[in-house]
Amino acid sequence: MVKIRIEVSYLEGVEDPEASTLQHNLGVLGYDSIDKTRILKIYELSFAEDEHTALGMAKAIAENLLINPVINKYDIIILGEE
Amino acid sequence: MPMSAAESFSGIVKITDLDESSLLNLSEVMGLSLNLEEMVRLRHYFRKLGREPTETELQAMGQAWSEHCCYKSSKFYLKKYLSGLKTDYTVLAMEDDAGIVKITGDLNYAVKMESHNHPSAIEPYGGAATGVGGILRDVLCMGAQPVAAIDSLYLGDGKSPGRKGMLNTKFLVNRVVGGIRDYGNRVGIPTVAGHLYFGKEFEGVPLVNAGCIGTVRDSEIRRSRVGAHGEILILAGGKTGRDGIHGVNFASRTLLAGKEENKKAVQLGNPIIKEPLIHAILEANSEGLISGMKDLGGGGLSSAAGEMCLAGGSGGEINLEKVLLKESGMEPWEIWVSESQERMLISAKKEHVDSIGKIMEKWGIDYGVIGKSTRGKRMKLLHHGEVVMDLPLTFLTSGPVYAKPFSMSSREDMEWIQPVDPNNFSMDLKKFIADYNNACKFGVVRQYDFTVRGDTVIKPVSGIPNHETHSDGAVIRASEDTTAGIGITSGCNVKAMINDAYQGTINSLSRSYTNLLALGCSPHSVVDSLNFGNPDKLEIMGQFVKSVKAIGDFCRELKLPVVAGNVSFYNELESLDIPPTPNILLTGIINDFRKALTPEFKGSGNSIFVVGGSSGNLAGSIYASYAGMTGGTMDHVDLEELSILKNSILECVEKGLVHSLHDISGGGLALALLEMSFGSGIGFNVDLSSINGSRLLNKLYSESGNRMIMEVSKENEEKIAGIFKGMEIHRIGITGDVRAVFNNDAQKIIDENISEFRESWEHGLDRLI
Repeated sequence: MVKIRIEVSYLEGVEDPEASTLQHNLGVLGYDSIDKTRILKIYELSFAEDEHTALGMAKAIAENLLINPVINKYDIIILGEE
Repeated sequence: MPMSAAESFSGIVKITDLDESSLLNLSEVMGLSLNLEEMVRLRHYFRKLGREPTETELQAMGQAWSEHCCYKSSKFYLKKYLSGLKTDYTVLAMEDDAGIVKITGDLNYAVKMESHNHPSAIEPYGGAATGVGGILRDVLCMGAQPVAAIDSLYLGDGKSPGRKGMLNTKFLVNRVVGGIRDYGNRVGIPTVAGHLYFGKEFEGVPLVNAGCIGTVRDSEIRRSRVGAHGEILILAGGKTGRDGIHGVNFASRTLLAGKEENKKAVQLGNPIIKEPLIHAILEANSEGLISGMKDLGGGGLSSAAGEMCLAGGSGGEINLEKVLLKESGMEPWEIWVSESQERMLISAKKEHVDSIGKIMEKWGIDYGVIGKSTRGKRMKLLHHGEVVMDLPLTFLTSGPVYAKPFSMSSREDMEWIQPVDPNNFSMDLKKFIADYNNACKFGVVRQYDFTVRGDTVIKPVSGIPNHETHSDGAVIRASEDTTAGIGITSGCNVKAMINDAYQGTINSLSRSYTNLLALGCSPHSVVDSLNFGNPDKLEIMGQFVKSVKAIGDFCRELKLPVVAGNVSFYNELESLDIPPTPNILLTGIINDFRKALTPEFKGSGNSIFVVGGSSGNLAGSIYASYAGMTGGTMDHVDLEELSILKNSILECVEKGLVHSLHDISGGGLALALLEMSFGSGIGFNVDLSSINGSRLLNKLYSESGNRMIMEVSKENEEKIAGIFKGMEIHRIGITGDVRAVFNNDAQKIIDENISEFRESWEHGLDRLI
């Protein structure tokens, strides 16, 4: 059993309204030194397959279902055997 | 001052020595979307100038000469057929970002509709949302307060598996509607009208057309131009990023299924910035601080700054490093052509800049003073002191105009289509009204906030709770100090367009016209959003020419001004073009909004009248396509009759003689009667024997003619007959009970409880939404 984390975020240059609103409000609260805020979606999947196969499957899942390539990118992190 | 020494410029691209194939290659590599002829023209220009262009200059030219910005394929025909269509109440037509039309006294409405098809095809949520955002800004930059948003959507039929590499209809409809909902609702402008069409022709090539209406006083109308030279240019609203670079060049060519390149040009909107931006702009404008303004849409700063300066008879000097950026390391050309959302360019006198700044800060809006208007007509761009562009505006905006060749197919034989009678008319009707194009669209409409701002008089749904039906359009109260209302309707009769581009366009216009009459409004102005396939094909250009000619003919006959519009070409996928789709936004006026009407039956025992003639022709109808039949020759729309119908209907509304009105359009008489019934649960009993000599099927489902259904009290019947003297008018039955009863030639054809029909109508779209 291998556990994999897929992080989906916006492509560089695509404005994230949620993150910019958050950052603005952090500034209002006095945390004005923060110059970049990102909001990501994290998926954690546990696979019965071996690491290599699971990685391929995770990639396919991310590309076919989890992201819209026009606005999103993804990172895959192997969290290790469970 | 023209610069002669090429060394003074930064970021040179060599083109003067290139041969034709290298020129084309350069256009491709740089993403300019310019054709060989245009590239040669550029080469010639810079040879004469004795220097090489900069990267920014080439990108700016690509932008300015794109189909999207300079209408090079359409301008010739638009001018030919639509010029001179003005009325005495037209304030601004086809000049600035939106049309302005007088309502009453010093009150006007600003109106505009635009397509946002290409972005929506690849990122439906963001594409549709920014479509709404962009159109709100078009109206806002005229100084108008947006009061209503309109959306017309044309999508695949949701039944076929869809085209490989493209998004499927179920996903598209939910994401597009979601984008409109989230943007419109959050920005606080009601989405009140629109159109939703499903057809396999739009599979993979969806159309998303967004419209907006705003209201503005005479003194607050602002033009999209600088007031004079020496004014300060302020860029306010969202920051500039790499999102949306080459959007217009992208919209000016064909989509390629699954191609990487499709994945570059998308933007996401941010309604949370837009809402305060609207307040800030309107506040600064009402204090008289703004000389002129323009929204940054397709073409970005390049388009907006150039057009504003040129229209104001001056030039401009812009420091690109003063533009607030989302990300570091952007090239000067990227800043210049970026199409990031939520931005407005404001021109103001020097002494007003501080006051504008204070208002922007109060509303939490980012802004930057980026340059000034100058004497002469040159646009000079600087980036950290280096000149990156210095060109005459007259050259930048001298985009080519093509009188493109076209071909028109003509049919000489009159062809009459005859679908086979169903075995059971009642069952068939139930199935027919569950067709995606007939079924109730509540699943979409109810996602939109259509009452925010509190001025919606006639909502898109009307009737008693749990018995609602669709209204023919919407009516918005124009202002607090008048009883005038603005009627809004939008759509296109695609089935008729597939049949014949000329008659289809006339038909689409006459439908919008009768929709407004059904609300009790007098049709007032036309905005066209013209969606077509690839204009390089002769028959597509032929469709375009026919359609534009039809708009001209219709408007001249019925004395309506065409006040704004937009053209979207290249709506094709793998050489398959969409059907010609001129989406019409028709705006009407009612002097007293309290007299506006809704379509549902109001009481039992009232008489049901059908006014207007019809041959019973089924060509170009939804039923014909439901029965799997194409072709047939459509009837000519009788515009003289339409004009008489208008006067008569408005007289009835003014005198309060009718309880409800509905036009007979998609789905024919049968669906129209049922829709009136659905709104209150009151049934009807009608006899179709007298309406024309055609077969029963044709009587039930024909969409031909300019026909309307009226519900009238017994005591007003004579008055009605007097008003419609000389027109074809039939009393077909009465309202009452809870059953839908259709008789023909002394036979009862359909007799069933309204709720049975409602059930299938209401759930028709369940599989999609």
